[in-house]
Amino acid sequence: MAQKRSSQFFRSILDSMRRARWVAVLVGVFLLGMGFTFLSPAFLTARNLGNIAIQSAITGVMAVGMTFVIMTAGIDISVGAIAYLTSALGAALVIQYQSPIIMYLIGIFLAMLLGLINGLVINFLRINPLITTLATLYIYRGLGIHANRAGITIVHQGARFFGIGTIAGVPMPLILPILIGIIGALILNYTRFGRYVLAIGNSQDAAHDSGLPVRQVLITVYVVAGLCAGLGGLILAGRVGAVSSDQGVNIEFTVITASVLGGTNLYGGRGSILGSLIGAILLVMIDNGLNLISASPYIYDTVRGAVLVGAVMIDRASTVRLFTTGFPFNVLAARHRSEAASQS
Amino acid sequence: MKIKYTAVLSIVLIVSVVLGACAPAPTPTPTTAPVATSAPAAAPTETPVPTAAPTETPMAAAPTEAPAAAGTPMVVTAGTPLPEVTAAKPYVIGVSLDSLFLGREAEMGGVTAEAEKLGVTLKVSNADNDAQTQSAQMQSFINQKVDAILLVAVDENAIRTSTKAAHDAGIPVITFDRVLPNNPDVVFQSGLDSLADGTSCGEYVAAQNDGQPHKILELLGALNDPNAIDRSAGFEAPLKDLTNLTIIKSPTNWNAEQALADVTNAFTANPDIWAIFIPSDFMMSAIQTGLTGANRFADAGQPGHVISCAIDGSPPGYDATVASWNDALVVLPLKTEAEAAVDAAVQILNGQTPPTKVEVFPGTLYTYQDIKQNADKIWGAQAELTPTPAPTATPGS
Repeated sequence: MAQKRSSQFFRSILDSMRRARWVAVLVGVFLLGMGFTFLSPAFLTARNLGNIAIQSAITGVMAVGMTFVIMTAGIDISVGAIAYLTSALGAALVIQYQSPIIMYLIGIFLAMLLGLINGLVINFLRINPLITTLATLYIYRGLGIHANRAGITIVHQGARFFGIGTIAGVPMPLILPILIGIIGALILNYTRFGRYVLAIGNSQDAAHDSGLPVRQVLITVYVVAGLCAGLGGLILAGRVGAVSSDQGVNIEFTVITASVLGGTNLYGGRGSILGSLIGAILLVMIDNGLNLISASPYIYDTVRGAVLVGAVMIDRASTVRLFTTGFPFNVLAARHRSEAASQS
Repeated sequence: MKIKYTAVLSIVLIVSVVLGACAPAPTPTPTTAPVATSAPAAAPTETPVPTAAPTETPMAAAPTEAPAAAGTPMVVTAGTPLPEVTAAKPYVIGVSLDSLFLGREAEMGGVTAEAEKLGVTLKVSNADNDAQTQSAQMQSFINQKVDAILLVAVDENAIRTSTKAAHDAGIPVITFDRVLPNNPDVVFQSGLDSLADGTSCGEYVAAQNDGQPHKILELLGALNDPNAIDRSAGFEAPLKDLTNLTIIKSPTNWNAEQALADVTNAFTANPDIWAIFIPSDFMMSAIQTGLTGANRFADAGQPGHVISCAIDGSPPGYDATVASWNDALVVLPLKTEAEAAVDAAVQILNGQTPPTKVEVFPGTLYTYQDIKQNADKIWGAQAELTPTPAPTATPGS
């Protein structure tokens, strides 16, 4: 009886770990953290851990939206341009009208509108998401460059709250990803919309045949991605204190990488908000650790690539092969069985 | 179905128009310059002259040798005046830019003004930092049979095929801003003397050395950018024999947010950092935020101040130096250097030979003590910028 209970316990752990693919990237974070702690005494300090959390805020918030998109087997590479356009336009209008609230309104509503355009074009014109968002990437960035005349717009102090503000002493770049992450996870796991996202990602045709509102859901995920990109842009502009034409360039790849590292399947049907946030932390941790140990600037890319390969290997090895065979829990269970048999 | 298509297209169109209308008016530079309707007047062209030495500047910028240039037999620094230039006919010149940002806009101001003066028509393309896009745009210029191409390369190696194709088509290629030292197909190069600019900062920091052990944070630009590489090499040269100084290098990849993370991380590991080298002052706001987070944001002469030297001369750099939290600023002669490229192109098209194949222009170093008096020589001081108060202290950042 005890053996059976023990076996069920192991099996339940195994099942939950199979589902929670973010465990792999968490292991990566842990191993990398151990390595950097060994190399630099400054790594495992409250201040530095706070730095890592704050520096991963932008990628983390944007990765939440990206997770929804990728889970439907879509992609949005215009998020960096949305972040740039909304913050560039917002910063310029704040200076013109001396009202910081404009920055937040534009950061939220314009970003959602830009996401809506992506969703409409993809779903009504039936253009591939990659091509559509590649095109809108250029359009949005071009409009942003036009808005700030390819220059640098200093962000009004009042509009920097998301980047450098605090609530009860807690920095906003720490609060926002947690808040957005919780909301995203609740939507994904506990709402009908979340279940639709999952179902569409698994099989769009089956979802359609089942009468799910496929088109509406697919449009909405791009609106969510746009919203998160806008919020990311607000944090970015607030932190840096200025908006320049290179802002958000290539950040889409970092965001996609964070999502995928966190267990989101590029072919849709599987994803984790928590995993995406941990993926963002892992990516920031690499640069942070290399900074702290004063590594040669020429090895950053190499280390980044190696850590990413390592994280993917951990993911593949642990969650796919080891866990599907049940190792080591099935081995332990077998040992229990043989010991029990020999005793009897 | 048609209605849906029309609706979507209408929304896209309306939003684009609204956004465009909301945005401030763009500067006229990155488009095509006016076409000359008649033969241009023989107006004398401004020859490239180095910016005047600043008054009360402790460290005057010293031009150094330009980067080694295989296949470019002669390299001179600014000061060798080109002959007076007039266009023999209304030429059409393609301008292939790597990307558009404040510094490039300033250079394009010089290119456009000089082109207008000489009656040259410009066709401008922007590669948005994509080497493949730039290759396609170069090919387009070749197909259009432009008379010459002015080029700021995204990647010095990737552009070789395009410069060779232009050379084979009989179209002279002239570079500006970024010198391509090993490219034999470029007929004239007008560049920044990044080595000298970095050296100016290095000498300024060396002059502050009190012999005590100190750490210096050296921020790097993109590791594949010749200007970034030369600025770094130039900065380190005057410091290499000062054994009490330790340099900590951190790559920013010309990304302001990365620069902020670098400063934050570096001060976490080394709270006693004594000086910072900033390879481009577009990232000044990020540096300011990073120093504030580390509780080291202080004006020159105040306790806790971090000595800093930046390069470029854009509005954020000028403001930071006037406010005296940045000690020194090397101001680049962007307009002069860009004008020299247009002059050289017209000379070559006229059948003349410029006296040199490579001309590099060093910047001029100003300090927080003399920058305001020299505002008229600084391109960033002329640009519009709304100043903002210093950020409040943020834990961590």
